[in-house]
Amino acid sequence: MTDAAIAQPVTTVASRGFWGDAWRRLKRNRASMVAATVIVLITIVAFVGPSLSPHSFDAIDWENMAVGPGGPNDHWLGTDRLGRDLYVRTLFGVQISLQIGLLATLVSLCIGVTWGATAGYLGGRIDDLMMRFVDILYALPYIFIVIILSTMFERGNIYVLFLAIGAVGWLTMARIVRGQTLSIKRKEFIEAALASGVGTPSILMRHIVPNVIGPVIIYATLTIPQMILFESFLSFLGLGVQEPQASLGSLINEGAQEMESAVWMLLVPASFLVTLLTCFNFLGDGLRDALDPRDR
Amino acid sequence: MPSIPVTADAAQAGGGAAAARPVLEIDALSVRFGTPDGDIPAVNDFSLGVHAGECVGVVGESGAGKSQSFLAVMGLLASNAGVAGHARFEGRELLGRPAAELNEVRGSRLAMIFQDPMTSLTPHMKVGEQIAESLIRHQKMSTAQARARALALLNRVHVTDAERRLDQYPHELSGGMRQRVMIAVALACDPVMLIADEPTTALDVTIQAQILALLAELKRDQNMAMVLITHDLGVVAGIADRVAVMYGGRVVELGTVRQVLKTPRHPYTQALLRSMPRVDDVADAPLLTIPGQPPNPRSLPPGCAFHPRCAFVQDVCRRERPPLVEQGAARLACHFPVPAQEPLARRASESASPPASDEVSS
Repeated sequence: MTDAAIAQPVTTVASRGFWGDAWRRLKRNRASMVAATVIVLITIVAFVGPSLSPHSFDAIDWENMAVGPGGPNDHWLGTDRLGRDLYVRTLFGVQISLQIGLLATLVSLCIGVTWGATAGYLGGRIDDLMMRFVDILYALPYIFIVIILSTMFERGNIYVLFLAIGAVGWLTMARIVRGQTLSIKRKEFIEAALASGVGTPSILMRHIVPNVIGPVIIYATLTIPQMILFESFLSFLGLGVQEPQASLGSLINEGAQEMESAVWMLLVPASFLVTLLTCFNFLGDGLRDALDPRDR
Repeated sequence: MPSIPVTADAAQAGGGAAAARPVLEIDALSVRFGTPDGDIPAVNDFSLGVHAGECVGVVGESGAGKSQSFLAVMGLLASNAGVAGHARFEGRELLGRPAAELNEVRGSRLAMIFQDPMTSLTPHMKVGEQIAESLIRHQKMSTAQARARALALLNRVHVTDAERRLDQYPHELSGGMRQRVMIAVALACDPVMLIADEPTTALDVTIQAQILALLAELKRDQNMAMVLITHDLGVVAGIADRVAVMYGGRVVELGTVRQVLKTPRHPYTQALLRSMPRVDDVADAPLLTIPGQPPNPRSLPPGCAFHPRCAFVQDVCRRERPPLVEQGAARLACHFPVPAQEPLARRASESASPPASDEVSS
């Protein structure tokens, strides 16, 4: 076959990109694919599921307050102590938590990677300035920043919440990326790229950032659950998702208060959260392997 | 298959090339590194002209300044380095130019390959992409054009099964194969000059010979100017036209390869040649080394930098540094050069009077 390939004219030689290759390797990792499937399924269920139930997330059923799952009514996963359908509320909470987790991580990823790689690669005074800025932000209590940000805008606007959480979450990412960049910017292949006239932006985006993507992905998968938890904390303070809306975090908070009498109120949202976080961890692990062509 | 011209126009390889202006003209180049303990001179007063179609070997021990000289030319020195002098490439001054300006030249007209092919290719980029990168950048090719050209280049450097290699990662290739890929990257834009920094050091001997043959072929076919930085005199003998021997950051002997290797006149060159083991030596013949250590650039000896290790040292060598001057066909920096007619005293078994202090069994 190879001989034939050489003899073939070179008119159409398809080129698979870096990401195409990564995807091919990811597909071979069974645990990751199962995790990814579960995440996709939960996401679909979260967005489609609520419409299958006759109840809405904020409707109060006066006849069925705090009933358990599997009762003779159509509250499939029971109701909370105000008689709101737990199935619909949990799925609604999954929607919000997923969005916040993913978008906030994305925001922190974009800012952190760009900031860290630029500072690490340019070095010198620019590096000093950029990293001192990070240090100052670190020194400020970031709950405080989020509170300021969320009071500056309309209360309960979850998109402001994404931004606010992401904007404080990038600091550690920037440090990780800067450290990785420092360790590879003096490598021979960077020197070789410089010798072939590659400009600074290309060196950063093509030669350095893909090389630091492994640790970045690992950290990002740790960040998603962190962001989801952080969101629930803000919701608890009354700065996050506002009642009657729900997120997984606020549902678990409510459930925890009733766990002695109505354990399902805790178990339903908690099992969704645990499943999601476990799957993100498996997926992150597989992504790390897929994105690093060296260790296979 | 549309033929992609990989070789340069043969017509420009005229016979009068040697008389023309050198492609690269290094004039009084000095490199110093600023450290908290004071400046360390790495290269002093280095001058060299390289013509089209010519290969100049630059030889010396570790720390002799051979790599730093050419990293300075490429603008790739560490940020604490200070450079003085001139390096004109095709009449354009390279030293002290901003990176954006250098990038017009680097990788297109002037290319460099590095010692270790294992680490000089970006690990997550496929071979084809790495070759295509400078084509897309310098020659504004489309991705498809660049890919076709990358394939032609891989064939040019005799990579077998080139089409499949385009989509492989560097770690999937052998050392020799990677060095060929490095050369293909360097050749992508038909450079007029190639600087090879120890291109064969990391390879085993059979692969070394293949890579050298490839470099010689490129020099011949594309009339390329070439600088070959090495510590291996055997490599120089095989491919170079002229040799510059460096010691302690300075050129100590510069001449044609025949003259320098057959009748070396600087005691250091002599000692260097003598310390090369030969296959036809008797098995228990002692390995010859040069006594002492290469000089520490922080504290170069006064006078001739080689004097503490030289067999012919005299008082004047300790006081005055010999200038690099024309002596016969060569340029030489020595107060007491070995007479030109005296053949190289190779071994104790061959020569009646080797300098006794040069002989150290190991």
